Amino acid sequence: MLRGLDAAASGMIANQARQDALTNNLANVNTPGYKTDNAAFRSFPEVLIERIRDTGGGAMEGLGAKQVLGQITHGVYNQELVPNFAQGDAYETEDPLNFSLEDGMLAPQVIDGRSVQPRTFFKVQKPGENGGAPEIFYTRSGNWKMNAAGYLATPEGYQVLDANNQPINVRALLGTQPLSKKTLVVTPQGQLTAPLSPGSQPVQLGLVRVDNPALTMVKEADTTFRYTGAGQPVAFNPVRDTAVSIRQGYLERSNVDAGRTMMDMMNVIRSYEANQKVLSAYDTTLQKLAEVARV
Amino acid sequence: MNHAMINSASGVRAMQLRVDTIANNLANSDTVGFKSSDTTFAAMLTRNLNNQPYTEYEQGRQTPYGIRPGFGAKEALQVVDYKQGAMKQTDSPTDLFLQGEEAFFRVQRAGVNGRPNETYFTRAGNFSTLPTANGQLALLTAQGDAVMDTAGRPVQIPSNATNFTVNKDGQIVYRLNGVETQGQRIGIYTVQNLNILNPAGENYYRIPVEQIGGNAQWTDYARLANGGATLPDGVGIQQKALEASNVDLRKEMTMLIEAQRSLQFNARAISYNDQMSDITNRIYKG
Repeated sequence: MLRGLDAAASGMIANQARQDALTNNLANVNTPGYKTDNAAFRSFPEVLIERIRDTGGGAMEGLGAKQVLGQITHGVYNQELVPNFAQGDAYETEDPLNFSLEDGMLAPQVIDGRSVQPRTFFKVQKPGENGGAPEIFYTRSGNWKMNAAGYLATPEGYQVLDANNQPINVRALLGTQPLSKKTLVVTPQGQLTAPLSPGSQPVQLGLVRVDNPALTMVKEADTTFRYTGAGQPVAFNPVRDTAVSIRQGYLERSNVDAGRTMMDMMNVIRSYEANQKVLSAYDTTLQKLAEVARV
Repeated sequence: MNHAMINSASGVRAMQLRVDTIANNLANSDTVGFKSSDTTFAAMLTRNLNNQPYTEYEQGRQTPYGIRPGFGAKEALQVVDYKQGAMKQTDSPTDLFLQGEEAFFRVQRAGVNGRPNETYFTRAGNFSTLPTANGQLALLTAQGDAVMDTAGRPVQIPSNATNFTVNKDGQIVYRLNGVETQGQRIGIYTVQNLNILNPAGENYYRIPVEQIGGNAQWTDYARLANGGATLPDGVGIQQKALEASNVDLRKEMTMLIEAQRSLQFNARAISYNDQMSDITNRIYKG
């Protein structure tokens, strides 16, 4: 049959998958801590094609040996969505419980011969599903609030963890002081202190450093990531990771580039259309064939 | 499995919510004691689809297997900015300006149809007086609800009182038949965790005790600040002044432009998705 028919269809399906990723990026253009997904296409595995009963171009004298014609692929598919962990800009919110992580100056690491930029993440704890043990997730979105019980929590209600994986009790830290940027101060190293509450113990925000985030961090709901690498991510070390700083009253903007995304969408549509045209062309060919056969 | 349309629609909805919030802020740019709010977003559900679980087809792939498409954005928080508004001088003795971002007046709204009285908190000090049945004047908010004193009673003054003054700590002083008399003390309540306050409309806030659950009482979250001898730092009442709205028009306009453009981008994406559907429909020409 016509081999290109499937290839054209697979091209359309792959472009549709890319469009799904692009629209998701665009919808999250204002989501703090969101990381752009890039779709990576991959061709189907190559197959060898051979001509059987090869006559060598000569007269039909018996059946020749089969001859290798070459390799062909039958199309393309959307292999993976790779998040781009580039730093988003910080914007000021003046909320004492908004934090942005700035780690663009961390020294790049060489992993498998490639230079990658390490990233730091906040630790949050999600309750286990169906009564299971709570799980630790990682996020770049420091958009938090103090819940009714006095704990630091994400908008979805997940507790933010300190360096010892314990929930952070802001009320215990503040004592009787009201919550404001004067009463709760965060050092650039992520230490929560209450300067106006005598006797309160500072709490270190739970931070981890992931050397190769694109290959080990997997997206989950609510702008969080799951760590899939070996063991546990390395804890943030203020002595070693001096290039990391935490800013209070700021949030990290989404790193989606709206203009670029719109342009990519136009590309996708045209590519989708081109594949459709090929498909239609095959259809016309088949139609002609059917007409010939009718005679 | 095509969720491009759903993604864009969720984006439009989220941005529309931000535009709505900004519109509300702009409408209240001159409302006494108004606090501006903002909408923040979070990414929605991400599903893990297991595509091509054959390692021989995944040559050269380094990311964890599977493909994880997201499903758009959602609104995460409606955050109120409790920053203090500017002080506006007035001539009315019943206009009270409350200093300190965490301080509130306590207001009681009479329950209708036998329901218990509701406690609200407000920063709008544009009060007025209304004669009551027992020959007193009741101090009421602009919505007509009673302002409470430190002991949890509605604030009232004799109707023939003159020279009505309110001190920094809320103490009411007036002249009655030529004698200087101390009246009730207007209650100032401080809320440690402003995040839990729920805007209840009409410049009122309430503590959502039924959402907190357990045996939560509003008194667990709001403390009387002027019950004792000394007021907390930076808290106090200033008579003959009002708190202006804290809406920053420049910030709101910038955010409006940003939100509107984001909305347009997502709307354009819907139109692109529609074009793609059209292209799909044209595969078969009949």
